[in-house]
Amino acid sequence: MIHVVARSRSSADLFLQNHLSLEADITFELGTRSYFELLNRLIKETPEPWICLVHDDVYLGRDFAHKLSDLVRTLESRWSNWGLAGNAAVLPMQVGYAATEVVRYLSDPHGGPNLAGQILPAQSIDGNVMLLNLEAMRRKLVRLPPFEGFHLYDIVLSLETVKAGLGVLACPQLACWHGSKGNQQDFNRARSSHTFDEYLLSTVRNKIVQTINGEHEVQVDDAGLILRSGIDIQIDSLKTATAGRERKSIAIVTRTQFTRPSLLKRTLDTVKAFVSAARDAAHFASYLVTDATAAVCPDGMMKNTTLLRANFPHQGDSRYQLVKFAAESIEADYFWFIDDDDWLFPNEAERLSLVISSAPADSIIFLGCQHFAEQSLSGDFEDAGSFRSTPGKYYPAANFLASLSGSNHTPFCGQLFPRRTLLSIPTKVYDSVTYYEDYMTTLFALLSTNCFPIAVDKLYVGISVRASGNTITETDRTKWNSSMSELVSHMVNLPELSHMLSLPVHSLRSDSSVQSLRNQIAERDHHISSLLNSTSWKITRPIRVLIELMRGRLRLSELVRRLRKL
Amino acid sequence: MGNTPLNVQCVYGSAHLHHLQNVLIPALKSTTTRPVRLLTTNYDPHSQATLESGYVDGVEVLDVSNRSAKISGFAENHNRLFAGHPSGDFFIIVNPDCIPQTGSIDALISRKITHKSTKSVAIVEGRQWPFEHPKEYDSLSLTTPWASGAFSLIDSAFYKLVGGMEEMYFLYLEDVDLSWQAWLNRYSVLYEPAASICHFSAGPFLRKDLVSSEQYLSLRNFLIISRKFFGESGEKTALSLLKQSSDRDLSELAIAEYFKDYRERVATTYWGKRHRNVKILGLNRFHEWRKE
Repeated sequence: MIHVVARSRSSADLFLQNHLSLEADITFELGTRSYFELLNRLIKETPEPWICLVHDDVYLGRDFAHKLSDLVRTLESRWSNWGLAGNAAVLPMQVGYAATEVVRYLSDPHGGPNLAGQILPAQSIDGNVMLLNLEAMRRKLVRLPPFEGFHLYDIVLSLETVKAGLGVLACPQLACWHGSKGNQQDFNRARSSHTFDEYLLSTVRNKIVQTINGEHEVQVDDAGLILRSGIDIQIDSLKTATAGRERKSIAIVTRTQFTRPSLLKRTLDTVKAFVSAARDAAHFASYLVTDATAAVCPDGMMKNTTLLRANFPHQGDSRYQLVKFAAESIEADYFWFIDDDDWLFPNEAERLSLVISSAPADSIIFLGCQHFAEQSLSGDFEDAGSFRSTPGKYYPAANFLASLSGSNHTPFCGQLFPRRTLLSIPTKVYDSVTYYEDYMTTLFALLSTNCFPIAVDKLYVGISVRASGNTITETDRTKWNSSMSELVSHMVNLPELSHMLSLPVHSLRSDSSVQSLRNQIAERDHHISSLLNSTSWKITRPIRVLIELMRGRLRLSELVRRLRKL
Repeated sequence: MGNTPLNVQCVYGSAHLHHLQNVLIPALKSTTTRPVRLLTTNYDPHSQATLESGYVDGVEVLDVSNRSAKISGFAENHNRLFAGHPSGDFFIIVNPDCIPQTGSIDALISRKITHKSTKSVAIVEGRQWPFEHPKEYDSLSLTTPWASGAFSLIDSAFYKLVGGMEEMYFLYLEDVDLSWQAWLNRYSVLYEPAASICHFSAGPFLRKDLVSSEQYLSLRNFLIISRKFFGESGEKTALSLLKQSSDRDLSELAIAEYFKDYRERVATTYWGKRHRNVKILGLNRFHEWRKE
């Protein structure tokens, strides 16, 4: 079941010598002239349902065969549409604390692994170790083009697998040491092939294809091919990987006191637009939660939305209690809290739906969101239709780790929390924190030992910033400070959390420190510019030119050319 | 007049079906006190995803079958809906990915009816939210050089006069063309900020790894509209602008297709006719930026 592509008999012998524990499972592929041809032959002729194809310069662990069998069982049960798997891949989303798209479950001369433990959907994999679902590939008629050589076959096989409707995955079980001799120059030479571009033009509709070795821009020289059909590798790699997976549910929860019905209607309309655009990979549902007793829902607002009323024993700021109430009352895998003046952008709903479907359990999903300064054209701040909204600060999804620096870098609406995380926040935290409830939840989730961050850096939420009515703009900071005191007190006294707070501060460059450096550079630039414009500098210029001429730093011809230009 | 249904035209694709059913149609009722007849058609004649005709959420939905041989363009579909269904003095066009806001259609109608001008109003454009187009409009007269086809009221007599929207474009710039025809036929084009519509379409959502039809067709159609309204010199300027554009490859391909399939079909009716609102200030820029 392990097929080794060996360059020679001696390299095969060496491989065997290094993998004696796997001897019974190894078959050597000798005399291969084209990896493409080999793959086609293996898919067509090998009787086994699956095989693992490896380079002869990899070192596999002693229990590799055992891991392989376990992996196939896992794939069959949880990723039933799998077609191909590898140990290094470029993903259609960003994962881990580094929010990387390139995942490495291996070690090689370029570096070590950068993630652990998760099976993830991939756009393409590296070919050093590949697990092929031959049965599915035969069923779906996967066939590679008849190219020569030993480059790009892994990208082509990945694309053909997705094109055939099968999933490509990155799997930690395939980890190894790869004594790779390949380098960026070899890859660049191979991908400059006109044939490769022709292949991409007939296969994908993307003009840029991400690979482990960087982006490749597809060259188009025929107008008819610009708006061509073909797979969208970002979306279709997600669709194929997640096909047949258990459908996850997401509660889009809007906490409200019904004080701004027009803004609330705007929020709910956009939630409905999002749900309509999300398609079927995951199940989104809209919920309103409130503890307002005499609230009246405006006509038609509640269509396709479920209203849940809480009855809290104590009066007061209930914003965090409503989070707990929602998590306890709604059966959903994920919770997405949207303020009742925010709005959702439905444009990338399907992508999010697919990412959630592929996400490991207990993932926390970060999304892009943006402030919008809102002004009412009519002067009526309760009339949402009268607002003119100006885009302001964008919060990139991948910036979440900066929240460990002491200030919040991800708005509440830019995160999807697993239900289990919300339910594991101690009751005393819900009872005492109010204003920083978003930051508290983010920190708790990020510091949970089972946290797996995923970032989808697309614009998903608009955050309304108005002259009045936002707690964020309150001038009296008493409630904010009081809540921060509660938050800090809880965070440093929860022993079950990880020690991520002790990450070196210098690795979390905050916006303010970047701005401070920029200001310093601008100050120096200004100083240099004032020196250059000073009379003394101008008067002494001929002397400096003369010195440059004498030292040979300036040629006479260059000087004449400069003088002519004056 | 109050009981005569107002025709609202919407051209959709299969991806818009859920949005139409769950969001746009339920929102329509609150946009006007008039009865609404929503005329819809799927631009893909082979698609199985079509709306059901009938009364839904207080709106009369009339889905018109598309009998074209292949996918038909924005203008062609709207012209067909208009020709097949008498519309009264005016009708509304709305994009299928929009959410019209409360009272928005009444705001368009009110502006059309009450506007004081020597010129008849051909088009009243609604305000898109949250990404409002930053193009100029006159704050006193509300005139604007061109109106977006995403959400507008159109005068039926004017539409008949000019023969509807230019079908050659397929998609993009037919709304600028229609607006320019209005100005050159002594009509006016207005912008009504009080008529608000959610339209989540703008730069932030363009994917750099894909060529959108908007990017390509806008370039090709820029050549068509430049020649149609500014003749040989307009075409020359447009070619020069395309050659300076950031995406040279895409521009060259658009130029090639224009010369091969479109140039000879561009009408010369408007050559030599001028109006201060009919202007090209850059590549696909037909307006000054709003000063606010």
